[in-house]
Amino acid sequence: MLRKYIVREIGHWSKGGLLSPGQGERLLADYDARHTGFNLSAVLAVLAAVLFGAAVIALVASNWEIIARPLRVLLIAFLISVSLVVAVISKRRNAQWIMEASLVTGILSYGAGLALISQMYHISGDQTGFMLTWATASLVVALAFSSGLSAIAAGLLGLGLLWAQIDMLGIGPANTGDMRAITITLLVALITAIAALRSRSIVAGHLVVILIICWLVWVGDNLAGIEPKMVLPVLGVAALALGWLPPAGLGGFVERHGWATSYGAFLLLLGLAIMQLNLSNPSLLAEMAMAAVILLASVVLLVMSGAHNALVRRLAYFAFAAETLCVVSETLGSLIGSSGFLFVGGLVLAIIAFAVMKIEKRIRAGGELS
Amino acid sequence: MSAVLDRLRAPLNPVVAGVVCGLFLLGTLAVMIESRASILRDGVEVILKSEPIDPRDLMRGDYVRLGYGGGISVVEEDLVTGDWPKRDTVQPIWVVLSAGEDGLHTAREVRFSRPVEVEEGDVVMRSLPVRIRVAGNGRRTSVIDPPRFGIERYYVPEGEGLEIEKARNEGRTTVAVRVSEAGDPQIARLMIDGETLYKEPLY
Repeated sequence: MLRKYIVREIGHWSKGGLLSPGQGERLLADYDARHTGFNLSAVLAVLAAVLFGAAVIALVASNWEIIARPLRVLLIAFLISVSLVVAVISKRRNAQWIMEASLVTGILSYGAGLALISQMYHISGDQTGFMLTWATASLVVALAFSSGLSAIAAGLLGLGLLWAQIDMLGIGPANTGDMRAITITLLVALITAIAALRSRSIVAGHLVVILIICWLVWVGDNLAGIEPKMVLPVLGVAALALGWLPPAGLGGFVERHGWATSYGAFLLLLGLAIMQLNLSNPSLLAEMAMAAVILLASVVLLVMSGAHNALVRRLAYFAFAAETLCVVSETLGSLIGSSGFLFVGGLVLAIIAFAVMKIEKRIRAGGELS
Repeated sequence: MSAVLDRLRAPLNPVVAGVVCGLFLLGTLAVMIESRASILRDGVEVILKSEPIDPRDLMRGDYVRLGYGGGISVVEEDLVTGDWPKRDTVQPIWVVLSAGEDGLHTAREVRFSRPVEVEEGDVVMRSLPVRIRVAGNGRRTSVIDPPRFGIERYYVPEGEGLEIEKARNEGRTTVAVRVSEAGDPQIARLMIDGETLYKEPLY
C-alpha cells in the first residue's frame, strides 16, 4: 500500500520536474531493495504457520488415545526440531519471512508441548509457570535468530504472564513477600525490549511499553496501594518529559515529540479522565477545577507537541471537545433542557471544529515553510 | 548508544542459533517431564478422598475438576499450628497429612512455613500461593481462602469425563497422590470404589 503511494507521488514529482529523469526509478529501486519483506506471500506464510501451530495445540487438547503418550511427546519434539532446521536453512539463504513463519510454528509447538506435559501429569493452577516458561522460550528463539515475530510472541506471552499473576495474587494490596513473582514480569519485559531492538521490531517495542505500563499500574496498586488513576497521570507526565527533552545519551532512540510523547499524552489524559469520572459527589467548584485542569492539559499538549505529532494533536482535540461538552452539560444542562443542550453542544462543537481547522491549516503552512 | 545497538544487533550464526534454541526448547520439555516422573517414581503415596465441588481447557482439553475432603481443599482454621502472618498476604501453606484407619489421608496440621520435623508416617504437602486474611480491620477471625495444590484437574480423553464425575458426586472417587520431598504433589492413580480406573505411567 505504501509502495503504491510512493509510486504515485514519484510519478507526480517526475511529471512536475521536481525529479530529474531517472531519479524516480532510482528512488523506487532503493525502496524495493530495503523493503523486500512484507508482501502477500510472507503474510500467507506466517498465517499458515499460526494455523499449523494452532492445529498442533488442538491435537494435544483432544487428548487422543490412539496416539500413545510417548509418541505424542516425540511428535512435538520432532515438530520443534523441524521448524528450527527450516529456520536455520532459510536464515542462511536470507529468506527472512520463511524463517519467521517457521519459528512461529516452533514456538506454538513448544506451547503445545507444555500443554501436553501438564495434561499428561494432570497439573493444574500453573498458569504463571506455564506462561513464564513459554515466554522464556520465545525470548531465547527471538534473541538467537533476531526474529521479530518471536519477539512479538514474547511480548504477548509477557502480557499473558502478567494476567496470570494478577489472577493469582489478585488486585489490591497483596503484601506478598515474594518479590520474585513481581520482578520476573519486569525482567521478561526488559529482555523482550532487547529482543525488539535486536530484531528492529516496532510492534514488539510497543508491546514492551504496554507491558511495562500495565506492570507499573498493577505493582503500584498491589504493593504500594496507589490507585491506577494516580499512577497513570504520573507515568504520562514522565513520558511527556522524556518526549520533550530526550536525553542526548539515547542517540535518537527516543525522538523529540515522538512515541514517548504520544504515550505520555494518552496516559495523562486517560488518568485525568478516570479521576474525573471517579469524583464522588463533587461540588460544582471541584468539578470545574478538574475540568479546567483537563482543558489546560489539552491546550498545553497542543502547544508543545501539536505541530509535530498528529496523534497527540488528535488526542488533545478529542479531550478538549469532550471536556467542553461536559462543562456545558454540568453548568447549563439543568437550565436549558435536553433540546437546548443539544443545540448549545452542537454550537460548541462547531466552534471547536472551526478552531481545529484553523490550527491544522496553520500547522500545514508552517510545515511547508520549514 | 549506536555502538551498543550495533553490538546488540550483531547476527548470530544460524546454525549456532538453531542448536541453542533446540537444546533449550527440547531440554526444558525433557526436564519438566523428568521432574514429574521422578515424583511418581520416588514420592510418598497418600490416598485422598475426592469431593464434589465442567469444564474444558482451551489448550489442554477435557478435564474433571477434583476437590479433596478431610480439610485439604477447604482449610479448617483451627488446624493452624504456629503463628499467623502479621498482615494479609498471598503465600503457600503447608498441610501435614496423616492416614486414618480407613487408609484415607486427612489434614492434621496447617502451617505457614515448612515444618522441620513431622511424625513418622506423616506427609507434608505444599499448596500454591493462597490468599490469607488475618483478623483485625473489622474482621473477627482469620481465614484462609480455599487452597489449591496443582492436583485439582484430571485430564481425560474427550467425552470420558462424565462417568468419573458421577462417581465423584456420589463420593466414591479416591485419588492416590505421590508427594515429593519438597512437598509437590503429583496425581498417580484415580480410583472408583477403591478400584483403579486410571493409572499414570511414568512417561
